[in-house]
Amino acid sequence: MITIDGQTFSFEPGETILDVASRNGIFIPTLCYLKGATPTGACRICLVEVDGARNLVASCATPAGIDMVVSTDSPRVVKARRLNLELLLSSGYHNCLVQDMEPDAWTDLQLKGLDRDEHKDICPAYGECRLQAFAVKYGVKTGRFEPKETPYVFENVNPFIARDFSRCILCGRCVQACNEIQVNNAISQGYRGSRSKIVASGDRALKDSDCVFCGECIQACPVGALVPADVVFKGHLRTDEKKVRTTCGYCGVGCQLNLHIYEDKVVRVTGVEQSGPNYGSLCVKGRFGYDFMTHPDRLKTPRIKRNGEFSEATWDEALDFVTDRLRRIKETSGPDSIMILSSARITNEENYLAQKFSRAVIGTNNIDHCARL
Amino acid sequence: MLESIALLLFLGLAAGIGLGIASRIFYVWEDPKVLAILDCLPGANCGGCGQAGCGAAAEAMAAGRIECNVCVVGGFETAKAVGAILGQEVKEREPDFALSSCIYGVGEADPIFTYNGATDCRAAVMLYGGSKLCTIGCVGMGTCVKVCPFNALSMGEDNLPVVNHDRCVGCGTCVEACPKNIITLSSATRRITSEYVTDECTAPCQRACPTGIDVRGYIREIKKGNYEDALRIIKEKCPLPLVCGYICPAPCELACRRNLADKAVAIDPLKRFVADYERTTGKQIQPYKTPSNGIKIAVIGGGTEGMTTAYYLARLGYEPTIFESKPQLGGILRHAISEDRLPRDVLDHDIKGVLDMGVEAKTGQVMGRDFTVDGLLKEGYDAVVLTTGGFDSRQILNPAFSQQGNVPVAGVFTMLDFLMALSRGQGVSSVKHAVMCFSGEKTLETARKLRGSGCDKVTIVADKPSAALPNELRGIHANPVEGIEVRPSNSIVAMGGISDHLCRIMIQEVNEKGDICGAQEILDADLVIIPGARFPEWVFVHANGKPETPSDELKWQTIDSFQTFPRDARKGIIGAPEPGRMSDSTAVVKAILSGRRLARAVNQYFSNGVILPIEHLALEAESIPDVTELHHITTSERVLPALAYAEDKTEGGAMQLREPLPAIEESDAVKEAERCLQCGLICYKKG
Repeated sequence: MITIDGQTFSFEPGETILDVASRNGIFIPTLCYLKGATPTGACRICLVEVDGARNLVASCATPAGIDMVVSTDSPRVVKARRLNLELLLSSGYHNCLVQDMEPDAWTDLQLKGLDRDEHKDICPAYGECRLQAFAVKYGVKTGRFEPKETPYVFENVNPFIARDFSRCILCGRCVQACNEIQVNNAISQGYRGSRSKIVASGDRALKDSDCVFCGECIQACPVGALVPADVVFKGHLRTDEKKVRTTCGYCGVGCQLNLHIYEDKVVRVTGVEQSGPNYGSLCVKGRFGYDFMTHPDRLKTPRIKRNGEFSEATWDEALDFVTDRLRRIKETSGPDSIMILSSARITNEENYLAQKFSRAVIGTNNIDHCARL
Repeated sequence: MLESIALLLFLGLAAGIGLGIASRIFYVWEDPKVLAILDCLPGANCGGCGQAGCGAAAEAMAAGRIECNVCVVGGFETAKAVGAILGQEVKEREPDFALSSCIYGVGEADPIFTYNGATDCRAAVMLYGGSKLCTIGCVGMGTCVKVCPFNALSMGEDNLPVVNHDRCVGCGTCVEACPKNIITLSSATRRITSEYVTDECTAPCQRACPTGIDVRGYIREIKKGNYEDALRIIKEKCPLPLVCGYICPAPCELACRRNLADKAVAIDPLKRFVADYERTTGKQIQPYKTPSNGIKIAVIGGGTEGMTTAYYLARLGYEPTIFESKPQLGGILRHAISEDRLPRDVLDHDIKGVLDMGVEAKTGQVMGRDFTVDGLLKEGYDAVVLTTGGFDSRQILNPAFSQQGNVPVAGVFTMLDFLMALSRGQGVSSVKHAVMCFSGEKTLETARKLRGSGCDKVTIVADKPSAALPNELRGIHANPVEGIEVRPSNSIVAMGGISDHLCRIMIQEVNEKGDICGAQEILDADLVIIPGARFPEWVFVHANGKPETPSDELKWQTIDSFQTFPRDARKGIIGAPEPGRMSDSTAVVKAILSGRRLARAVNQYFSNGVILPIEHLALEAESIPDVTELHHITTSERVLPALAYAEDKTEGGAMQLREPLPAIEESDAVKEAERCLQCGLICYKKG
């Protein structure tokens, strides 16, 4: 048995303090902890006080022990968390509402940001940033430490992912997500000390590395360091977006995703972390392939080629045309001259109907579909 | 026989004539109005009006030296009767009543000796300030009870005065009599404008709360089951109790004295419990509002601070209107805090409470595009209060940094806006004298650019001594360059202008600590550049005290809203960080404090003309008597969880901060409230 905040719980061997606490609805804040991955204990936000231990321990990495007495929000713990948050906020360019410095120091920070295009707008994670949320939750006062310059430049040469190292807090969630959840092993921690950086293939841009752009790291990033490349400068707040949950249409797996909608347009896609089959993970198509929905070239009505040119038609016209042609081909050349190719993007039931149509109506076994992912 | 009758008649006649002559000679003319007024007054001679008695008060009223509504005993009815005699219109006066602050009697508090002398408080305190260890505690001899002319006070079981609110008229006799200042007068205005001072009985949680909620008071009411009273106590100091119940960082819980023994009382969840009680029962509970005074105030910015300022101004009898650029009120609460942590119906509930207090809100109004400060003053607002929030409010508003057509505050630019305007090639035209506040490394560069674009003179004002400035500025201070002047150790303390032009500013010398104390100087200036990208909490008023006639030109000035701080932490009217700066976006409770102080400044300006600093502020005092260990208390486990954004229990990751927060059971809340030690300065509940 373990006692957390005065309540006693049973636990399985191997469970960490954080596991036991969150299973029982006791909140311990975390930044670097990623469910399903090996805990790294990097951010030191989940610190708790254990009776008898000399120092505060990271609850995500400390196994629950018999007769352990844990306090998750004692004044000592809160003080330590505040200091850690303060240090994180001073580690780079966090031009956030929670910054609280002398006006002239603040002006310098902002002017430094304005020199660079990527920082002209408000932080893309504004309103969704966990660092911001915890800083507000714990009432962190900043301004004691001078903001640290980041030696690495903004990387936006990649097709889908923009990397802003000046906002990175080096929590390593993206590394865990890449290596342990997706097992792509594209990125890792690189360099040491104040030059630490998350690197891909020996510090190359993501596009030149093993990265497959699944965007798992974007979903894992608790701050505004990893963002979809095209939302960096979109200039609206994430809190103004509307979320619509739906099922991904790209293949038959049925991944659950959230479409983020702003002004009636999909601006971003995230995976739904609470439910299967994907538990938040998505592939490159599901996460980034949403442009077509509002693309001007998208077909909205059927088209029929007449005199060598496609012209718009109604559904009735198009269906009559297809039926007529199929019937004629079947009559003149026999049913085996027709092949039906169905799609993995439609449902099982629809695929069943397609083969039924092929065999019973057309009368051929030439039926296949594209599930060759 | 006849002789004696004649003698008596003669004597009577002589005396009569003598008296008759004397009455002619010594005749004193008495105003019939005074007599009539005296008839209306209650005749208690309590002195609550500040006069020697009812007779003196009647004369003063007739002579117009005092208002006819000053009689605290007779109240509004008497005032109306007096007003009818004098032919004056009578304004309703908010009621005052006595309030005793000591909560542990001589029997319970720690003593330093046993007192057996005369049973009068004034005698008892002459011996080492009373028998209690606590230097500000009630000595319990009941002098206040004896002096009360209305029998409104009695001594309770624990030798503490109990006020009978039906009888108390707020005359203040007891306040005069109490040698320990335990009894004070209490009215809505006094409660709103007061802050905890060092010689007041405050619990650690109260002092830790930036808004200054009477924590022990509301927990006591929860314990008794009076949830409405509990919420009324909270709303006295916090207009957004439900929001605070969700997202407050709860510094009170860290300060809770129970931390010395076991775990802090769940102060914040208890607040959420009573606020939720209001929401679920649908009974709207609002604290007392003073009678209207018809003064119109424009509050710019509908965030926490703006809503709080408007809420308190409404309670103080003003007519505030909020101008908000977004379609809905809420500011950072709505646009920065994710819905998972603060559900929007929670926010909307509290906003409704603010609006129902008598606050008007105009949304979708962008400063600079739809209105300007001088425009609002011209429209007939008596004051304009800027609560435009942090730097990011501007970015939220104008993601593309599009320049608005008008300058929202005449002649004032923020450094960032100004540099961006310059970089777009929009120079300044016909500026004679620009004043820049020291704004970091680029100050001098910007000053040179200003000179280059045709400005005659640039003065750089820094509230630091010259030794703390960058080298090149120090050099210019030592060897002035033509057209650029550096004024170290100075701070801008006021601005004034005519119509949509800034005309002059006032600077004042500061000492090495940054306190304003030196000589004042008025400079003609038509452009002021302030550091950062946010407007400080400025209050603009009509320079001549009342709106101009339509034919006159508008003359405006700022008031010293930062004066509400103790004098030794002032830095003029350009926002500096704590403790000089008012707003603070790091916690909703801090913004609420700023909002209330702004309302206090506005109220003091309109009622007294001067804004007085708060002396001996307990929040900022370093040493206040406190205890470091607890004795004779029973330890108990905290019933309510720490405000649990309980992580998703079933599946998924730790990424989502989860809502909704679990509802709190009434029985749990009462049980938790019983854990409260009801601390005083050094007393607490034992056993």
